[in-house]
Amino acid sequence: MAEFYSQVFNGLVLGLLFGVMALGFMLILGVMEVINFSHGALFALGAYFALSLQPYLGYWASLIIAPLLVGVIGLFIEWSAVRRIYGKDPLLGLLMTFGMAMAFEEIIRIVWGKIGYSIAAPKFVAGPIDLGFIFYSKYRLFLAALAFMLLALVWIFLEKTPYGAIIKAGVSDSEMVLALGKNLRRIRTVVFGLGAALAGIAGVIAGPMWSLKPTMGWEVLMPSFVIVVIGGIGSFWGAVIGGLIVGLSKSLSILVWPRMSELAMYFIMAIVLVVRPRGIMGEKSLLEQ
Amino acid sequence: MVRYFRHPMFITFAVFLILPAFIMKLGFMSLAIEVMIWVIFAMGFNILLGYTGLPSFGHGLFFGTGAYMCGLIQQHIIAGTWIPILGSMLFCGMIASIVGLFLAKKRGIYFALLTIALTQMFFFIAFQWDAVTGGENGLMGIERYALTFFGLFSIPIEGILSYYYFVFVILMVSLILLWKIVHSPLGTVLYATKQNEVRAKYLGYNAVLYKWIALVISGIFAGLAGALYAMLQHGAFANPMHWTKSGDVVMMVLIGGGLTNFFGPILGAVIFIALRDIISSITEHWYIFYGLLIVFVIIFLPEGILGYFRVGQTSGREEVLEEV
Amino acid sequence: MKKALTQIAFAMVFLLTPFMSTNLGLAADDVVRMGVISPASGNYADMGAAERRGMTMAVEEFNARGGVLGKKIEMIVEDTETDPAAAARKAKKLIERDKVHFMLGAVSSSCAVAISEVAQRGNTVYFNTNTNSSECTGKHAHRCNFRVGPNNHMLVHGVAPWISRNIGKNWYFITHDYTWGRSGTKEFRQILKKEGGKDLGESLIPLGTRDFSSYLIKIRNLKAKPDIVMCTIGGVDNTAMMEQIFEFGMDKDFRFGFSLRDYSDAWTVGLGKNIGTFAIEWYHLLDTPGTKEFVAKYKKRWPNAKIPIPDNNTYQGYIGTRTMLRAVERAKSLKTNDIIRALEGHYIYDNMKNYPTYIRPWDHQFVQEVYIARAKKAKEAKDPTDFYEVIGSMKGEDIVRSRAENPCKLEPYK
Repeated sequence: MAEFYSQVFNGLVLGLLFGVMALGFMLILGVMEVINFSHGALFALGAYFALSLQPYLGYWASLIIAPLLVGVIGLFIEWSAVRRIYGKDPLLGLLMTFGMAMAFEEIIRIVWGKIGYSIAAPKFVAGPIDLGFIFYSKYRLFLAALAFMLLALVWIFLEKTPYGAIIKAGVSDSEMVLALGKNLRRIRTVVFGLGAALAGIAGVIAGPMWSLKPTMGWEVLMPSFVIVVIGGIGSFWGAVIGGLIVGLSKSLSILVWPRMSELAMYFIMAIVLVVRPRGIMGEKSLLEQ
Repeated sequence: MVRYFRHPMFITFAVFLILPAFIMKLGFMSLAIEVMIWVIFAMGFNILLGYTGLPSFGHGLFFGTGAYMCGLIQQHIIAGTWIPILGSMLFCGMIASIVGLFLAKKRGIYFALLTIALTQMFFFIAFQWDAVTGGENGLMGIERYALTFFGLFSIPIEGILSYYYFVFVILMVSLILLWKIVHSPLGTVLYATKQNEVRAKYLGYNAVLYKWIALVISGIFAGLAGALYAMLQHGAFANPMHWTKSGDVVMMVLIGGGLTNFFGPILGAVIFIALRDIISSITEHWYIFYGLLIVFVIIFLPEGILGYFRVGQTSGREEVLEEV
Repeated sequence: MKKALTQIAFAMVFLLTPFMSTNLGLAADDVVRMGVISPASGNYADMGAAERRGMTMAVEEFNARGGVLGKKIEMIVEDTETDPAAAARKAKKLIERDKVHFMLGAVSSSCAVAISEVAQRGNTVYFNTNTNSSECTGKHAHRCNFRVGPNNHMLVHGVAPWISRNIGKNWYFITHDYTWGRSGTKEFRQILKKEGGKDLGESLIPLGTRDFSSYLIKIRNLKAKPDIVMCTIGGVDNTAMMEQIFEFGMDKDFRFGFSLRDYSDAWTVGLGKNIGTFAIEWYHLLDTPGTKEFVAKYKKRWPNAKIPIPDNNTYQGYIGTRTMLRAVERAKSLKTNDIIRALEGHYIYDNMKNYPTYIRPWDHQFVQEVYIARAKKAKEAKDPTDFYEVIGSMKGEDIVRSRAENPCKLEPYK
């Protein structure tokens, strides 16, 4: 029984982390209709920036600054490259962000070297914790709390601020937003930066758990895709719930058939596609016309 | 008469026919065969991408499946060349038809997303099912058995020159076949579907069915290419099915200008493979140059080289570039 | 007219672009071409860089003396991308276009298997460096292929008996669920049975998992506590696992055994998070003849390398290259069969180990001494590079497969 609880915990923690990643991915997809293949590379950059900043600034400052740096990089990529392919064949956006992902990966190799690195968890959450019914890791609880707070912040931003409302509208129907006189260009730049920052912070908090390698971004990219399909494009809760589903599917399938735990999310995706093609919480968006 | 000599189809035929004379001594034969195989793959793929407008980022799954099926049929059913190749094509066509049931209803970004997830599923299965596929080592020992013609005579294709011409013949047949498809009523409907699916529907065409057909055709050609590649390399591997590799064929089509020109993928395949080789030999940091190259091509040459030079565009084909 | 010109240009592009890639095959005869096929990208890029450093050192040593057979040695390097399909393609390129006289490299076993097939078909001698899968000198052994490092069988037979006699006989297994992982656990189990130990079960971990927490939790909750957890985890994920072992406090109550530790993995997690008992091929702080000099030479040659001392990957790259070049000298020829004959049955005495390495003629495995080590705690380290305490060693002949156990067949000489 203890094992079951531990797996559930793990699934939820992982799910929250995936949710943060998927949220950034989904916002970019929704507002710009661009599949951002460089999302994983931005995740990796966040971790590596934190690696370099931590010795000088400490954990908390790097936690805030590293994602901001990644966000700035996101703004830069959007301004210099991504905006040129809006409205064109979706493959162009795919390929372009794919090329950028490759370039970023090599930049990481050039700047930080090909070897792997380890980031220590901050001292106050390092090590295991005895919760009575299970033994768990302090850092993962901390991570879950952080991810939860992040999601809450983003939700508040989207739901309660006027700018957030514009972004939400942009996800549903960007043409309308333009027609209403909002500066769509700027919105798109901001959203890309926001998405990048979310990926970056996911990287920072995942670093101590998984250790760093230049290729670390690719493993979190696929789950983001699957989550967006499962959860539906255009819905905040879709990304969160999709993230939890994928996280839990990975950890719970370990109890049943470990070999298939990587495939579990694809099976769920296939089922969702058949039963509810728009995704669990998907709204009708421009992507489907 | 002279017009025929200037037609790209003839130029392609002539160039590949006489190429071995120049490159055999230099050891470039394997590369040239690889180029021809990718041309088959890319041209078939372009039916889906350039002519039907469906952005698949997952065609590696057919390529890889074709390679594996060729090896598996050779090793478990009948050692030979014709049957494994035809078997691979058939099997890939079958997979494409099943997968097409899901995919044909979608388009645009959603379509692309699904193809990525699908190819990743297949990659994973191929990688894990090592009893059948050899797992991470791949399926080794795929041979080039001599071509038999109803037991009357046989042509060995183990030698690199003979294999080259075998692939060459298949290439020309494929090109002619694809040309016919594109210039047939089917091709016209596909192109109409690309331009505006709703309008095509209103004209009474079952757009979903035609998209499905395009998927199956491109899947069959991809399977053919995969089988030929397996025989070139004497092995089948899982990695071409990984979604990151599926982008290679998309790049080829794009660079060459396949979106606006029938012959674009041919040029694209040649350039892509040459560049890939050159860059990786020059520097160990080739990854960054490769990535930036892709970005530059997308920004500055979205219509590819042939599109840029407006070479040989058939009339009435404009790129529809909407700006929102 | 314009159209004709563009179409001629079109055709010219065809004819010329493939030729632009390296070495227009006008291969000069006064140079010895050594192909290096090693990862520069992908998961094993760091180990590839380490082995190339060793190879470069060996080549430079020979070139300083005038090369081999009076010709300078030129290294032609290609990236395997840690992908067997790409590795096979590039190996072909090295053989057919660059016309290399021999090749070395790999790191990833699956790449090595693919490369060795290409090498055999292309009749080129190939040294498989830094891989461990036993198949490379077993099921997938070829006449042209030699393996420079110890194989899995040797490593497992080096460390497992020691563990069973010194730590305990109740084992639990963590296995990476792919060919290499499963074969490793199979071999561990065979030894456990021979030693009369108890098999407490196994966790199969899917490839690509960065997250071992679920499995570690499972082990913590086992009813019968194992004396040691034997892990066969592939390179990249080793570091994640070690991080997580400490994260869940498993280091205090559990011991871990591995078939192999790559120094770069130890380096990544750092002194504080290294754990386990394992087999290693070589260590820069060994008190064996030649080691100190080699380390000094490395430091002089690579003052800016990310890893400041030669690790096991560098060692293999160096020894492999040197052995190949010496074989060419002994054979007085660059022909493949001559080199192979000069290698089979040869003993390497200055291998920086206590016993010479023997190149076995019937499976082309370099039979060599293997060391048993445990991870040092941070306070035990004598200097920032001192990760291991060497606690034992096994002679090559004692741990290698017999002919009966390894019914491999090499192709006849071409």
